[in-house]
Amino acid sequence: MTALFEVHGLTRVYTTGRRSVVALEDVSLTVEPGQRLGIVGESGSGKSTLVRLMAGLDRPTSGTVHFGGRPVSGVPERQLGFLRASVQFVFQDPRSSLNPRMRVGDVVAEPLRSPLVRRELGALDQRRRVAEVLDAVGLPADAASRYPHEFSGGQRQRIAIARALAPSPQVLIADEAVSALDVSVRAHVLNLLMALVDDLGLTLLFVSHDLAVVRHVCPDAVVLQGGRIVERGPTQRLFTAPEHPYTARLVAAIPTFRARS
Amino acid sequence: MKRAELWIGLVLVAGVVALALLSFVWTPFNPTGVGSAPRLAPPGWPHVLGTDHMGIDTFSRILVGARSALYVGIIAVGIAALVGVPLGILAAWLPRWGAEGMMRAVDVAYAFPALLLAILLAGVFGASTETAMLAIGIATIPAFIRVTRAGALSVLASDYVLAARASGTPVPVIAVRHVLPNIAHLVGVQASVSFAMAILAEAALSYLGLGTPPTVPSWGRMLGDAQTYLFSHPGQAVWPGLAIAGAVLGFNLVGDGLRDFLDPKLQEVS
Amino acid sequence: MTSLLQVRDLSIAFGRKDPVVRGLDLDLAAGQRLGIIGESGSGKTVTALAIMGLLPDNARVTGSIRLDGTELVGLSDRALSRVRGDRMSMIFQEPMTALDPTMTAGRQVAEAFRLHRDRDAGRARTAVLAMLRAVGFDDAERVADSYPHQLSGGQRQRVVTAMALVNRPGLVICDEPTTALDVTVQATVLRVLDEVLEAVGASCLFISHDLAVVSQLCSDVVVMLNGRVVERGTAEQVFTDPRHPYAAGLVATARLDLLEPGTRLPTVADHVRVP
Repeated sequence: MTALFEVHGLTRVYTTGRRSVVALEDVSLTVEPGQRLGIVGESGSGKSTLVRLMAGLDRPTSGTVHFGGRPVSGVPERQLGFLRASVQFVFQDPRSSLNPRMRVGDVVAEPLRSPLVRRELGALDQRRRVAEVLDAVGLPADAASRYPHEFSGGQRQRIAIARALAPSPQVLIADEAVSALDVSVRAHVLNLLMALVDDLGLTLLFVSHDLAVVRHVCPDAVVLQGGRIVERGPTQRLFTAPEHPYTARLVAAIPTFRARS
Repeated sequence: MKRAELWIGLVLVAGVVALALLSFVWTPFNPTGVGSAPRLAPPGWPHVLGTDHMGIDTFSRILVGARSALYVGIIAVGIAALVGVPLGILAAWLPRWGAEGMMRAVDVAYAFPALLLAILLAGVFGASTETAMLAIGIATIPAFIRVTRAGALSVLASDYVLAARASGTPVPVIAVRHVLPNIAHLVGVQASVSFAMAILAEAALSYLGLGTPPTVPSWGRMLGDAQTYLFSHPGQAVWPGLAIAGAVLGFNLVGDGLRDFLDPKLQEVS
Repeated sequence: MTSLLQVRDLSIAFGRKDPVVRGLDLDLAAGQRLGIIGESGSGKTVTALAIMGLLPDNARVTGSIRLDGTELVGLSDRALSRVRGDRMSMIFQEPMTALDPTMTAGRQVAEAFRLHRDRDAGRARTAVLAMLRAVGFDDAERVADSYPHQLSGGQRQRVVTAMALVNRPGLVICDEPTTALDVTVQATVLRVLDEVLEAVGASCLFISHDLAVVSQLCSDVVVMLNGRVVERGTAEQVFTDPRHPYAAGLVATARLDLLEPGTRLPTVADHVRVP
């Protein structure tokens, strides 16, 4: 089986004025089809930069990204149709990831209206597809005609998931997708996400600062610190036998239940 | 409190619009022709606001003057918005160095006195209402660029724009579908405030003889005419002065009120 | 056991809307640490602000809040400001906005001290440096002379902690003090908070949505839902044997550590229909 994503020596340096910040440094990794990979790190670790580069939303300073054997980095936008239909995002804050002035139906249909995606998908009944994905995430069909602010945080995150599913992608990138949610809502959204990934055979890139959640969702993970991958392996092993001191610190810092008196 | 300001503003603006509309169908006397009426008559009957130095009914001139004020405001703000908003979005989208250059140019344009531009244009094209509108409109473009760019930058940084890009949505579509609706309120506020400034600028230009020609009634020109008789007949300056002040205050209050009313951040505070 | 803080039948409403807190009772003994758990909209932050007297003007507060016997409800803002920062203090979620960017960290901690304790600058400086050391700064002098932007998020939150504790208040209210921080930083701040509360002997009202964090710091817990307390007890009892179905659901859903990875997560809805 060939790898879905091949990332090689990826580096991204941001320059503002005379100062430059290395957001990502020499990162290499592969993602197999159907894999659920956790990308773990704290703020400033470069985890969001990494997935944005993989999705072709930013240009690397050096290094390459290949998706399905085809280059992503340095390719003009109009030739990225294969990627745009196949890789979709779910972001952290559903308040900022849904345009408040668009109806939910239009939000969810947006990927289907993109000329690049249309070229890949061919003819498609948009309204039917919107109804299908809204149903898949457990929202009523009449949600399409309402506005995002009429929904709770958890429901808004479902809308964002529906939008991501609309073009029938192969890869879902969840960028801190449950971090802004209340614990009880988090459980619902995680259950939904895992069920959809299973049912649709999706590849999942799960970006999170929360190792406990990553352990639950992803069999494998990479740990990023200061723009570098410091450790990678089965998530369970990262917990029980971390090799890098930073991973050990991260695991030790997870708040655990402790009985006090 | 802020609600009250918005309402006062709306009433004032509605008043100006009503005067202008009324002038199309009815004025008590001919607002341009020299009549047989006594010159510089005090307010009374039948000339409710009196007559000016040429014996023309002041109230009639105020009515028609409202039309000029709105006309100038609409065209000038229209020019500024039509040019400024797209340029503002462009400035937000451009890479850093491009945006820097553009905004420095905007700063220079901002610093260029509008009055000087008007004098320049009047010198080239001759003084007319159209020249005044063009000058005011051009001078207002930088304000629209700044406001639009600031709003567009925050919209472009949002995750829904990133999601749209992740689906390959073309840039012009993002500008129309995501950016414009989410900065409309900012542009509306700017338009209202600029409208007030345009009315004021038109009055100033006409007062200086660089705007509306003498035959067309204009509040600014009325003020200029009244100046000659300021000591003998101070009442002459009061009416156009009040009209200008009311219209300017009205549009400013509407702008301010809208700013608070439409600001989603202020609305979420319970 | 004498109560340091006694809240009786507290109800809070904004404007003409329905109350967001209804008939709340709380008791906190000297030195006790009580965790308030609840999700967004449960009324936990509003309760904290009511105790501090920091609610906006359109809030209607009824009931009684007694701190050491002093009734706080209905007290003038002037009188309250003498209590605030002295006998009770608060640590907020966002350490960046809780500090004035134009003042050095040391001066901000000193302000609190000089306002309530001692005008003398020299004695204030001594107290500030001692407090900064207590919150884990070995280089207290350097931190005292730093501006907020020169400090990291975790350092800032420790400065805020020093500000809150420099006057050795009887009560410290913490509202999600580590939610905005990275996990490794959170661990440090929690440890520091634990130590310094112990050292000062202050009671603590600790508000959080994170049950594990609460379990690390608090001996007792209340669970709030829609403005009411639905469960109260010792931390051990609430976390191991919750009685109210909502509390049971909340605990179950938070215990990721007890689950087989990849399995379906328990949800609150498994236990109760939440309106």
